[in-house]
Amino acid sequence: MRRAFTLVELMISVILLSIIVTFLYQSVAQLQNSNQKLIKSTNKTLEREDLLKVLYNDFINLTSLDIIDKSDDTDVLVLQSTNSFYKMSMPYVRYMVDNDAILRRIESAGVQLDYENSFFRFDTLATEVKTLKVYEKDGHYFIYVKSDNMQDIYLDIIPPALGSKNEEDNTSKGSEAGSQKKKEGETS
Amino acid sequence: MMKKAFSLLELILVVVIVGIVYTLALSTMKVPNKDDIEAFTLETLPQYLRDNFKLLDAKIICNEPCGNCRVLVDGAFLDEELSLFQEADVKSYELSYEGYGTEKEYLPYDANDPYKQACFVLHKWPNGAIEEVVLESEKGFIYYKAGYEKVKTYKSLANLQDAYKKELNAIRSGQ
Repeated sequence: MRRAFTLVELMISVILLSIIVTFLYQSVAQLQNSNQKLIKSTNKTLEREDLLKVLYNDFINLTSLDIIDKSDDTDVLVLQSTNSFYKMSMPYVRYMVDNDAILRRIESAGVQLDYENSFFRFDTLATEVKTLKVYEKDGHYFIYVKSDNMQDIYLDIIPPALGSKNEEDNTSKGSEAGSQKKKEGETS
Repeated sequence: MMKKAFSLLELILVVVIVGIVYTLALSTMKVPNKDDIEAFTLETLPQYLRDNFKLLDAKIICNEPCGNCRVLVDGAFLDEELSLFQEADVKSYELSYEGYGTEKEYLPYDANDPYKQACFVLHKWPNGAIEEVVLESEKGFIYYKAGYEKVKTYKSLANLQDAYKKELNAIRSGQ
């Protein structure tokens, strides 16, 4: 007669199998978890990069800038730039943060932006924006954006078009102001 | 004394049951497959253009019939063709300032065959902006915004227009 597996042998094999499967399951679940975290943080970083690109393009091509509502944490910026998303030449661009903390870029052609009557195009740049501040000194534009969704943005830009204007006012600063500079750092 | 042995059939049965339980347990966890990670879909077209042709002027041009599309980078076509659509029936729309969609008509892009009409063109400028266009495909109405926003898909053009007008009115009534 052929020797058969006993119940005990079978039970041992099943138990061993289940232990292995449990460990596999755990490691796969862990991998899944960390994968999702990575995707989330990558998306956040990418969103921040995109916002940086838009800000940089607008400010490096800046020809005029008005900063309004300075008392609040969030400025409203009305600027004119040669950078357009919509094939407009020298569009007026408005950066504003609405009540839901959404930062939008509003672009309109030709006339000074009056968004109750005129035509404009809008883009959402970031959400959960707590602070949008721009300071100007000696031809430098300091831009500070704080959002819950991303690392803080701190940009220091010298718009060349405005730099040449400074050159006429102040010859000692002229050579410096003509150069473009982009600095980026984080503030805690 | 004779021990009762398990037959082969019984063993197979047990293994199959264990296999089924294992499959059920694994299927509750969504394991990301290759398609999820590096999917090249209609939603990721702007990202594709921005990633691959950073500071260049790049266009995806789909001539009729809209099966295959080609990429035009700074005036020169790339060799490879992209197959984007399952069905040849796609339409492009553009939105007015007030959010009304009208069908978009393109100039012909193919120099060899100037009567070939383009049915979809996605244009990325060197500054990273996309020329706004709404694409109607089997997936629905896909709205390519100019900025870096995520591409959104709507069930109908009316839904898209409503969403646009809602945001427009929120900005108009503002603050």
